[in-house]
Amino acid sequence: MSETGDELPVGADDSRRRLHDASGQLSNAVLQLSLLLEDATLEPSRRRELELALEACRAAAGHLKALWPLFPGR
Amino acid sequence: MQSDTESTVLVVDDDATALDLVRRVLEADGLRCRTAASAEAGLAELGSAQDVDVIVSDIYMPATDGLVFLGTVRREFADRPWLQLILITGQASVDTAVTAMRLEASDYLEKPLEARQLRESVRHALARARSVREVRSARGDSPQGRELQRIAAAALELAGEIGRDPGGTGPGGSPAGLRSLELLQSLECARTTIFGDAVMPEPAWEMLAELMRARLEGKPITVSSLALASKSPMTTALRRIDELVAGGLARRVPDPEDRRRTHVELTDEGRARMQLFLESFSRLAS
Repeated sequence: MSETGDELPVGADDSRRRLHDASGQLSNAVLQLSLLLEDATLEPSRRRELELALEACRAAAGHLKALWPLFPGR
Repeated sequence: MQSDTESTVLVVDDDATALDLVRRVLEADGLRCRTAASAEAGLAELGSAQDVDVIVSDIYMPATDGLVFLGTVRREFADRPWLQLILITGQASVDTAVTAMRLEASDYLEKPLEARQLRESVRHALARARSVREVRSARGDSPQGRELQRIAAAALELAGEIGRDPGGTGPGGSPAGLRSLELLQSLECARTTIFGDAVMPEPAWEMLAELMRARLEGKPITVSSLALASKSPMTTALRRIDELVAGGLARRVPDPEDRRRTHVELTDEGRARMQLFLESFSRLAS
């Protein structure tokens, strides 16, 4: 499914778009988590949970970046 | 002087969630934001709002992409040279980085974005916008204004000379090359006159100017002479030379007459960047 919920045939262009969508969604998650972690009043256990989630999103984003060379272009 | 709280950041992204998040991150830092969900909406926003100093735009947008959008901004709002552009991309590439450089983008951020990184980039861009506004407001009949006009004219002339004479002039130099050298010296003198000792020059800039001078004179320069010319500690200077080489702006060449010595010279890329910088500087200052 795409960002808009449409079923897409899997071609190079569609794959690039899906990759772009996934990259954007992960970036949103990272930005949201990094914003939440700026709250100085966070309880330590809650902070640790958010940090773990942030690390997981960063790692996933790193894996996605490794796929970009398979789909050249902008 | 305009403060950051009086400046506005225009955020352009077709992704509504990203748009809202970026706005929240910046507003949490006390910055004012406008948002646009497309390049077309961004242009309309710029047309109606004079307070925008920085534009943060995603590159990948369905109708008009961010690079085309920012190119249009540079053309249609050429009377606002203080506008700083920050590009965001999910897929960094050499091509987009080069295009960003040509658009004189202030920064080029790769997803995933983090709040602190975004704020630092925007703060830096706001400081640049403020500097350009101040430089422009210093124009007029004041001695500084006249000096600035002279520097701007010299920078533009030097950029033209560098573009016409890319290979250097050789020992002794051609009239055009010698004129370039005079302009380069004039720029350095003018900078000292205006800023005095209050602003220490960045060693990398001193080195680039020295490499440009060596290229125009057609005289090689050794690593040690270049380090001395930078007026910075030797370890700092050597690190800056490594950075210039790593960045493709300069290269090390063994001295053919003494293999123990190494020369440093400006690459074609370094020359092209100097030309671009001088053209941009001249446009901003004049």
